[in-house]
Amino acid sequence: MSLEAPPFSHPVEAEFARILDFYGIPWLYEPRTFPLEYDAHGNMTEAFSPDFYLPDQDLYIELTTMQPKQVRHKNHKLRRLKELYPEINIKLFKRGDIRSLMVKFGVQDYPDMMANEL
Amino acid sequence: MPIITLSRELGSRGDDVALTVAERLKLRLVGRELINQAARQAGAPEIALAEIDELGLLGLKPDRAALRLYRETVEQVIRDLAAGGNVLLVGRGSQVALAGQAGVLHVRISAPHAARVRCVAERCRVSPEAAAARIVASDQARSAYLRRHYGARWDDPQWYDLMIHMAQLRVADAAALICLAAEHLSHNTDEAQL
Repeated sequence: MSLEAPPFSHPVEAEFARILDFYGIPWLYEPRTFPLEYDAHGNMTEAFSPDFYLPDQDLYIELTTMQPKQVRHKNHKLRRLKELYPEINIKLFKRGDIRSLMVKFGVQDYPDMMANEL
Repeated sequence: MPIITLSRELGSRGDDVALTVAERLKLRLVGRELINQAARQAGAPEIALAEIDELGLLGLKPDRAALRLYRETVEQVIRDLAAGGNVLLVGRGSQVALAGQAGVLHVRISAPHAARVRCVAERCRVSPEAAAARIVASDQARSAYLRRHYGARWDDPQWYDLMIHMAQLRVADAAALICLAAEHLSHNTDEAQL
């Protein structure tokens, strides 16, 4: 749980953090970047920074509000992450999961939030 | 080396009682940690989230095999913690997992519905209606855990040595009663072993 809210890149992330706070689940926002690809010169060309890390559960959380058809690139990144870092536990919350979560948590302006891609 | 299990209703101030007893008897207080440890050991950390999420906000649905392994691991973790002594275990069916084990004090904390609603509304800063809904969801989740896993009812007196209804008592009063019972039980167990 952070004392001061970090600069979330999407309002859905802020709401997710509120739910974690509600349950008293400690969290860190984008604490680590995992290199996924390098070019021939050893420069990092692709990386992945999961949105949240829950230290008590040793679990990373990635949120996406993309339409199912557009999630392919994100799924590819997640697969690559699991290949390169098999010890990492990560859970992807998809658009439908997030919509349901926002409704249950009583977030009134969730349709606007879902309109912006995350 | 007191070992206490404590089952409590949401909004009964059972968590405050647990904290006070643990401080007074210098016990390790294990609640959420039990869930996290068991889920990690079972190799399914997201189950911890699903279990913590008793109001169903996150909507996680772990698969049956992972859940079964988690439940078995919870029981093993409870037994390991109890074997170490000096522990107060909150929830997770510990009263049933350790039933019949000599020297373990089993406590249940309940409270009148109106008092629970008031407590949840104040602490969570929600309306009385929302607090009442959270209490219903929490009661369902906690009673379902014991029913599914052990076929037991969580309010059945057979699982408890001491049941405290927080209608008139303060947290300190309830804690004092539990400490006294733990002291007597420890004395009785020592005598039986002589």
